Parts: sequence; C-alpha cells; structure tokens
Amino acid sequence: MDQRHQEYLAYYEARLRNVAGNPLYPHTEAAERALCDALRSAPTLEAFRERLEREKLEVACAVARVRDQATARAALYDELEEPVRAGPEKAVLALLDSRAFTDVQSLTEAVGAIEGEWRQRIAADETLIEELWSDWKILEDVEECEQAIVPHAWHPERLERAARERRTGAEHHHQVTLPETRKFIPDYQPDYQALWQVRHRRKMPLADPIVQRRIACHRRYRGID
Amino acid sequence: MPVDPMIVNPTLGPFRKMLAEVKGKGLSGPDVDQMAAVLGRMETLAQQMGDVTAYMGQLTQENSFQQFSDAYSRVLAGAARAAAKDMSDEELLAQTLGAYEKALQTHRSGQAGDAAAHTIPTLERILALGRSGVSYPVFLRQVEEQGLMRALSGSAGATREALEKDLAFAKESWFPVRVEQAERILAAYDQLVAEAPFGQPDPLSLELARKRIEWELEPLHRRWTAVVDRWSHVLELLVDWLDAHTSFAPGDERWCPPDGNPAKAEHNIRRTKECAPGDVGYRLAILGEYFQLGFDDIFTHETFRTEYTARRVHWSDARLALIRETFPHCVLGGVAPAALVARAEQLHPHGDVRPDAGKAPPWGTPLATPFG
Repeated sequence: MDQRHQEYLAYYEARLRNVAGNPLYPHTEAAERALCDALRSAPTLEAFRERLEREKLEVACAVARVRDQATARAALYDELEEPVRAGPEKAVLALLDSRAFTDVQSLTEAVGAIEGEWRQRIAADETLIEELWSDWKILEDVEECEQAIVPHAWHPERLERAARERRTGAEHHHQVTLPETRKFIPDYQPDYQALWQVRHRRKMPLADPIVQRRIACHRRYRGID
Repeated sequence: MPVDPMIVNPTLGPFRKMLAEVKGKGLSGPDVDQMAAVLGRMETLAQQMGDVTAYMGQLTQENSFQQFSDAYSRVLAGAARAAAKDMSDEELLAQTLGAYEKALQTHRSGQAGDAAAHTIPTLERILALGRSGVSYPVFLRQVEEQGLMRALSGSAGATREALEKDLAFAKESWFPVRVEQAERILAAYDQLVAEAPFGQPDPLSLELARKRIEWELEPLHRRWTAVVDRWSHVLELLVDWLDAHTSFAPGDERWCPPDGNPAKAEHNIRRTKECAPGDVGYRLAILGEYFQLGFDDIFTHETFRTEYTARRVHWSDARLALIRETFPHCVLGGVAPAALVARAEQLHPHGDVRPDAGKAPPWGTPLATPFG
C-alpha cells in the first residue's frame, strides 16, 4: 500500500470513527466500514476507485445515513406521540425500502420531495390548534359579555357585542382563513376531534372540561355550529 | 392584473440569476431545459394572477421552487462530475479550496446572512489546512478529525456560540421556561461534545435532544404566559374601575371617544363603573377554574413575582397597593371610596407606572414582590 493509499484509508477510517458505536447509526457504520474494507483490500487506489464506482459504495453511505436519520426521528416522534411529524420520516424509510438509488442526487431529490409534501400536511395539521389557542382570549371576551353578572340595563349592549364578535369570527373564518389556507392546502378542513390527540391536547395545558367548553365556543365563534 | 413586481422580482430574481449563470457557463441539456421551463411557468403565473398569496400558494402546490432547485443541482453536479472525473488529487484540492474561498468571501460580505457569519472561522481553518501543503486525502482527514464539517453543518443555530446567544436572550427576556430550555439544550450540546470522537457534537443527536426538550417545555411556556395574561387582565379591570370614578375620567382616552362627545364619554364611564365588578368576577372565576388562583394568590404567584422583578408589571408599587385595596369595593352596585379615588387622582398619570418599567434587571436577581 503506497503512501497516498494509506492517506485515503486514514481519511475513511476517520469518517468511520465519527459514527462507530453510536446506536443512532447502525446502517451508516456498516456502510462506512464496507467502504474502509474495500479500500484496505484494494491492491491499488485505481482498483478501489473502480470498485467504488461499480458498487456505488459512496451512495450506499448516503442512503445508510438517510435511513439512520429517518429511523431516529421517527422513533422520537413515535415516542412523543407525534404521528404526523413522524409521517415524512416513515415515508422516507418506505422509499428506501422500495427503491434502489444509484446516485446521491436522486436520493436528495426524492427525500426533498417527501419533506416538501409533508411540510404542508404538518402545517395543515397544526393550523387549527394554533388558531384556537390564539383565539382563546377572544372566546373568553365573548363569554364575559354573555355571562358576567352586570345590571340588566347593560345586557342588550353586551349581547350585541358578543354577537358582533361572533359575526367577525365567522366572517374571518369563511372569507379569510379557509380560502387562504386552501391556497396552499386545497382540501383543508379543521378537524376539531383531532384536538384531543396528544400532539394537540398538550398545547392546551388546562383541564379537560375547560378545553371541551372552549372547543364548543370556538366552533360557534367560527360559525361552524 | 399581474402580481406586484415588488413581490415577483425579489422572489424570482435568484432563480433568474441561477438560470443565467448556467447558460453563461455554456451548460445545456434536459435539466437546463427544465430549469427554464419551471422559471417560465413561474413568470407566466405572475402575469396571470393578481393575488400575491394565491400566487405563492400556486407555486407551492406546483412545487416550483423545489423542481427548479433539483434541476439546478443536477446541472451543477453533472458539470462537477464531468470536470472531476480525470482530475488529479492536486486539482481536486485546488477545486475544493476554490469553492471554500468563494463561500468565505460571500460570508464575509454578509450576502449569506447573519447565521452564515458564524462559519467564517471554520472556513478560514479549512482553507488554512488546505494551504498547509498536505495532500488531498490528508486535508480531508484533518477536516474530519477537527470536526470542521460538523461545525459547518451546525451553522443553522447549532453552534455553541449560537446556543449561548439563545440563552442570553432568554435571560434578558426573563422567560424562565425559555431559560430552562436554552440551558438544557446547551447542556445537551456540551454532553455531546464530551462524547464526540473529534470534539464536535453529532448533529442528529443534537437535533433529537433539542426537539425533545422543546417538546417537553412547550406546554409549560404556554401555561406560564396564559396565567400572566389572565391576572394582568384582572389588574387592568380594577384600575379602570377605580379610575372611572375620578375627575380625570371624562377626558381620559379609555372613555373619551375620538370626537370628544361628553355624553358618550359619560356613557362609557357608567359602563365601566357598573359592569367592571361583574367582569372582575368573571375573570377571577376563570383564574380559579384554570389555575386554582384567587385574587390574593396573584401577588405571591411565581409568575407575578417574576414579571414584577422583570419590571414588566408596569404599575408602580403605590398603584399596586391601590389595586389591592380597590378589590373589596369592586362589587355589583358598589362605589369606589372617596379616599381611594383621591389617591388615584394623586397618582395619575406619572405615579401610576414605575419609572423603570420595561428595564429588566440582570437575570438571577432575587424575585421580589411589592407586598413583602
């Protein structure tokens, strides 16, 4: 093994050391190890380069890294009960299981396409909870107008204010929120039932009866009920 | 009517530049054709659509930016592959250093944004290694062993310097949950550095640690701000109720309409006097239902003491004392005692707010309360 050959081997061994023994990178470690072994056993650098190209060893390293990353992220999101955020990671894993890649560019593009598609799905999934939480105080204002104990003389004015708020909320929902959101996500529909799933419920850190009441208030405020 | 050129030009400008660059280098083929086709479609839509949001939505739905970028990457990668195929190690090193030199110049000029500026020392180290006379594989190994590739990939907010800035900002902002978050992320970073073979944390491990910490603390932060918002509202209502009884009320912007109509101002004042007690009752019921807090609990609660110490409770101590004394009188049909009204008139306007409102002391200052 000449000096240049040894220098290349030292480089690939350094790459291997970066992932060796790290439980997040089983596939990457195997692929990097295979690359090192190929270089170590090659009679010449030229022979190694031919094998590298023939067996697509660098592509295998890239695929392995993408697989390990997606596996780790999917596992975390599963543990955190975030199935929608786990979606793109699982889609990437399904892609790697169903398609063999022969160049890194195709891999990057395919993964990028999945991430792009899921960014919209994630945004759609999280739209309602963010809107509800930001509208929460308005819902209290409306309830205050209707339920606070005040002299009877003020009831008509306060009830009219509550009704006005609701009209504004419904108009905004139907004329702004829905059309604007559907420009990006054509089939968007707010799913109030999904708010009880962990990923959304945890963003409303209040007791269940309160959340239940506010969800009902929000549907009325949006003119859905 | 076409989309406003003030929007279209900054949006499509970089894509026009990339296509011109590719054509300027004499590159051609199906990927260059696709770049031109995608950009043409974006230009056409800009002429056909009038609404900016609809335009951006259409581009997003058609995945135009991604399609263009993918084609551009293929063109560049193809050109690089063709050029590199027969290159010697020396030529490869020269080409690599040329690319880093170009990146360094871009970052130094500020064209790549503030985040990219953090990478300047790393780029300088990479270039110094490459110019030290070592061979291409030795250069690659040293870059790997010194963690320079990871340092570069961590430029988007994952350097220690950036994490320290996050922590400093959280402390300046006096948001305890955010401080805890930044401290835990920084600790995770240091732990990963200690475990890393070449002194740079594994980016994936850091990403996962960060996501987990943010996930765990988000509900706490939401709850914290929700408590503050609710008791702030109670205090404001009590201030308004007492002030509605003062002689300055008719001219105060809280009640005086823009047209200055005294009858409307009087109506507004009467509304506050008669309705605020019910509103305070409603808001306290909310505070109790949500957070199991009563009126007196507000002033000893961690959120109040923190906001007070951070000087975000903008009322002066004298005004806060007045708020507490007002509370028992703010009942349906109640009238503010003359002595309290006189004190409110005396305080208004300059004595209402603390002179150092908004000027937070250093993080770590012991939490205080105006009532001992």
